[in-house]
Amino acid sequence: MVKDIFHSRHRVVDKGKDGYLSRPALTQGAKVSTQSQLEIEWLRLLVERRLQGSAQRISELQQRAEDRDDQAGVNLLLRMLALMVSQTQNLTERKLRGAVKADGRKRRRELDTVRSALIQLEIALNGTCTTLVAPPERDVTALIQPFVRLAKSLTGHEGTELIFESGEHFEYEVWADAFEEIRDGVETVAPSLEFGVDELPPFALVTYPGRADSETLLHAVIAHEVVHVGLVRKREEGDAQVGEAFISRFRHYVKSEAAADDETRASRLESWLNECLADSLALRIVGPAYFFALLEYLLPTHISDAAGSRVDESHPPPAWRVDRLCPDAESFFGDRKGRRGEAAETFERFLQLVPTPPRSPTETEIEDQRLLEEMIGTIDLDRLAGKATYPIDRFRRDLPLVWDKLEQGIAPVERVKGRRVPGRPAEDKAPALAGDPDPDLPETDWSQTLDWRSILNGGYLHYLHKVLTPPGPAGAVIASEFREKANSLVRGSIELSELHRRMIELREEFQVLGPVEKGR
Amino acid sequence: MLGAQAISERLRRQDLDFAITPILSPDQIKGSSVDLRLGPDLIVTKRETGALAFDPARSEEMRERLGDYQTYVRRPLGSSFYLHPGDFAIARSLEYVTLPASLSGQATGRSSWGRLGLVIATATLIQPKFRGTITLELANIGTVPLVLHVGVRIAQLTLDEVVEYD
Repeated sequence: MVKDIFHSRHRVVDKGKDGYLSRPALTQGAKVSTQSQLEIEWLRLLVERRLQGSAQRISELQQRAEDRDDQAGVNLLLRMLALMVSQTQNLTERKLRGAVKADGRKRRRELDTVRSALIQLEIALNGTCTTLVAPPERDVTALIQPFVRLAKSLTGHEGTELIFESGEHFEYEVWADAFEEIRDGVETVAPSLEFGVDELPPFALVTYPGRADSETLLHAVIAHEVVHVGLVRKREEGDAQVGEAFISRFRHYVKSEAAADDETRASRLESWLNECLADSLALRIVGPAYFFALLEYLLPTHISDAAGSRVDESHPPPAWRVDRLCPDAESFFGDRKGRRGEAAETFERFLQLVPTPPRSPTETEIEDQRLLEEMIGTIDLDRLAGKATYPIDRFRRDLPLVWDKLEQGIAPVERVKGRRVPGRPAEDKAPALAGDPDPDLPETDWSQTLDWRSILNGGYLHYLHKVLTPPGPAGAVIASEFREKANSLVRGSIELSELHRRMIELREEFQVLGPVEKGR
Repeated sequence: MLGAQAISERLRRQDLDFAITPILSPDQIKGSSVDLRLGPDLIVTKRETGALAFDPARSEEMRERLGDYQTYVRRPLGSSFYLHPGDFAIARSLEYVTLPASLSGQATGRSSWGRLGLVIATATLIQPKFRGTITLELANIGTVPLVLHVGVRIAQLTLDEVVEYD
């Protein structure tokens, strides 16, 4: 809860009975003319009204955020904004008092500082509060906490938070440092707080297309945005492979390889390197579902057969992005026994949907790709993914279990211990059954929580299998209904597996919540 | 009616299309029932000041007005929800239930809650081949507000074998 620090510190302007500024308030300790004093007090009134309004707005937003799944992040942001408002309050009061006692240029300087502080506050409020008025819609909430956990693992900072915004554009975007404007503002209103603000945990805003709220499978693309948050943090920490020094060497290398000292190309390739890294790491942390979702996201609007299409300075050519991920995605599929065989066949069918590069690449494009792959080859992606990695073994072990449950219309949420599969082929038994407990996942005497990524990947592959295996769904309407059901079952299962995980963490508390053991 | 052991055994068999998931501990299956927990989604009824009545004879109008009369609320795990005396809410179980053709179920309230005034009633029969979460109609007929925590054991599911089925 944001403390209501404004009321306690708020300085009420002394007003007369009729609401006009009273003379004593204007003349106290004054060195300047009555007219100037009136101006200052008038400004004081306006500033205080504005600060009151800002404080009230923050308080309203805090109340509105009570049920949000990204509430921790929202509260962190609002606390910072509240702190900034109170600091602006202190600064403006001090400067206005100073202005009353000063004259001439000094008074002007004091008043200018008041205005600058207000402007900075407005920028911070505009930039951040607007992100809170479009909260994530119902269906995306199941994915918020899983992605926040991934962000924490990637940054290596437990305090990392994400907030989600439903956008009107059909784009996935990230604002990797959502404190940026607050940081800039604090520089003006409270330089003494700068150190504290610099120590703030990584905090990012993820925007997803609101129209695709229920497209849970497609939201695997959010992994790419989450990786950006991790990369920004690593860069700030001066990581040997993605930090400034590395990037500077990369730019130098690009320029040395080019015929001319091409700054534009170096900048473009720097951005492309960042995006390629985000793609590769997203695949590592989420699994092949990222690959499927990326193609589904890019295919309708980004991948074009038109020759000479415009070069995107920020992202590499979409067809190339998808193409370069193929081998990594394929590496998740191991042997072809039982369900894993069906999944591998589905993957191969899906590969036929991957478009070949639309036109013959130019020499520059071939050279760009070579340079990028060469650089990416020097980066230890496993190290960067770290604890966020989705282990290939887990994917292979969980796939038959998730697939089987979906086939039976059961939500794949937990791995029930000692589950028997009468009459099942031997090859699927070991991985599909309880097997060795996964040390990274919470468990009870009854079951172990399924990794949400296993649900996402198993669900995606099961859906693709149904759609891509002949005869497939008959007709577009049925195909669309089928997609809706797949999204809904995967979403519900992820939500339940998250509840299962949380309930195990809160087990003691939940024993208290269900105290009645007799006389049901 | 199935006893706890029979329910546990059937839940561990993968060939039955039978699941109640997630289950926090084996302790949730006791006697001859499985405890159901309160899920995070609720539909609460708004108190109207104007005259409002539902007339089943005018079903179209009734459907349209339901939206004005009810509000969807989502409460995170561990948070609570107040059900005031006289209030009615539609909730769902946290558990997802899949019943095979050979089993039917009944969701009923727990007497511990009943003694406090909470009635979980109406559509209690769960047909064979059902898939989904169980809808729970909650009414507080007591005289004090009830604090319902998301995740609390609120109802129980009993299971019966269907003698003849497709």
